[in-house]
Amino acid sequence: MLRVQGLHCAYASSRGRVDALRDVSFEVPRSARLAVVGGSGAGKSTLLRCLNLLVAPSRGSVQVGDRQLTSLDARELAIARRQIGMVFQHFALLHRRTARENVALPLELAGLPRAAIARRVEELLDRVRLRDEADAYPSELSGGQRQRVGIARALAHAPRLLLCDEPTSALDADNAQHVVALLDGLSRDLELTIVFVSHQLEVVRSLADVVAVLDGGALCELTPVAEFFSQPRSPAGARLLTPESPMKLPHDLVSEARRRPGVGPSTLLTFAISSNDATSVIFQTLSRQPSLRLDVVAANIESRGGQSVGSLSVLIHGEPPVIRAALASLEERAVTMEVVGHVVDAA
Amino acid sequence: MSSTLLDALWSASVETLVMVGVSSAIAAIFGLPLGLLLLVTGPRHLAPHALVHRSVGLIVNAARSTPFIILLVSVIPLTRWLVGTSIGTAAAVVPLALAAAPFVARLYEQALRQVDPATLEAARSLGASRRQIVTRVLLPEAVPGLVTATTVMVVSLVGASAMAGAVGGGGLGDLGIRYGYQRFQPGVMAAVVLLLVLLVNAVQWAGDRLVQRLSRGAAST
Repeated sequence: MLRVQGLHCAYASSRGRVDALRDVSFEVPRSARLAVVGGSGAGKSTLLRCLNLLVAPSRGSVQVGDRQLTSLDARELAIARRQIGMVFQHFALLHRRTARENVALPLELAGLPRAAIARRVEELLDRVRLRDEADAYPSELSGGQRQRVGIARALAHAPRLLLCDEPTSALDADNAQHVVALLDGLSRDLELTIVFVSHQLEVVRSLADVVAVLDGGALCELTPVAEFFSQPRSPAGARLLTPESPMKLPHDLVSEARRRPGVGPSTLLTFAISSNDATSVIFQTLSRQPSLRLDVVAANIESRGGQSVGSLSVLIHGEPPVIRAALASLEERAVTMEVVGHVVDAA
Repeated sequence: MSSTLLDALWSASVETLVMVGVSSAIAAIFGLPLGLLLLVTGPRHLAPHALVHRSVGLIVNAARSTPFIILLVSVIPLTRWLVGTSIGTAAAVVPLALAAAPFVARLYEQALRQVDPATLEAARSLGASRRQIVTRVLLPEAVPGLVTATTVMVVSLVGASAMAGAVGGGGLGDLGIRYGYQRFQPGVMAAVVLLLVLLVNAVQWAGDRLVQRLSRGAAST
């Protein structure tokens, strides 16, 4: 349904050239739901906007169905975009149009006859259960209702692909759940392929089939959703599952360690935990060097689907060569870790 | 107050209304495309074009920084060519419109800028052409703001028209100067000022009411 190949997106900013996307390739089969996740600035929004060419990639190709979007001219692209619905975080409704008129907009843009527009709009309003609010202006609707208008508008031309940019982030928990249920139902009934960006893990868990993790503009992993939550394949993925853990580290310790990269007499390490035996592997390996002393600085580990997931930060004190040897043997046992840096006099 | 004076007040009021009305209409007709051009040729907008953006901005700023009284006398040749005379109500319309157009262009640009960029992006995602984005989304969404901007322009044209009157344009300003100042009739001056105050308030009230009606439940801008 959707094929992305070698997508690269760079733009000039005040800080010089920014590579928002680096060589991203993936495919989404028909009716699948792909969640795009990643930290802020990872390139999620840019990727989503490259899929309907709202943002023009510098290199690479985007193919939707049998259409190569990247080879279309402006007029053909506008027509192709009708087959790709888009839903926005803050709804992006026209304030001076009623719900009904907002849903009618894409059909008016395509120049459809009035009667056909009216018929289609009623159908769409029924689909998102907004018939009673059809004549209300956006300011008179709740956030959840506004997003339902946005979804109805995106579905106007019966697209096969729906792009959603943080569709539930501006909603309270209840409304978010309703919107997720609506999208879920729509994707089943209409065989819609959905690509959505979300930082809300509950939304990812309940809507996605596959999770794509972006980090620094690169695609780190593309993992089925159950596996992602139990065993993320990349450190970036593991970090997302426990996003608060690095924040809990004493701030001055982290900033000092970041100023002194590499191993020293007191080295700060962060481990990604993605299996039940990960912590025991780490402690067993490190305790084989009796001259090393360990302080656990912060840990955030929880059980997800029977697996321990999270991160663990420790300070290791000892001779730098001994520490390096210990780290080497940890690497041999496939432990995912990051050397934050070292600090002085932290004992 | 004699009936001659009342007649004079009446015809001066009509002249002022005509001057302000016609010059407002002309300024709006030229100001809207200018304001739109200023906005859409800006960086990262619908039709970025640095050269057009900068030169239109330069012309607009130059026109705005010229004192009105200087503009008034310096465009006399143009006025003569356009209207055939440099004296009278019709002649006063030329400098008034010329001063108001760049002023309102900036106000329109600001009003159009207030439209949520996300709605423009949404329109693009729905397959709108650039022309459609402007005509179906940008302009309709900006209507309350455009009306507010027009009200500001009309109010400042009422003031400027009184000045134009002083150099032979007729209208309330002309009457106030001739009777109130040159013939020492403070009563006429007071009546002129009162009429201008009423006119400005009426314009502002009507503008506000219109904006309120056009905003349709949306938070008025």
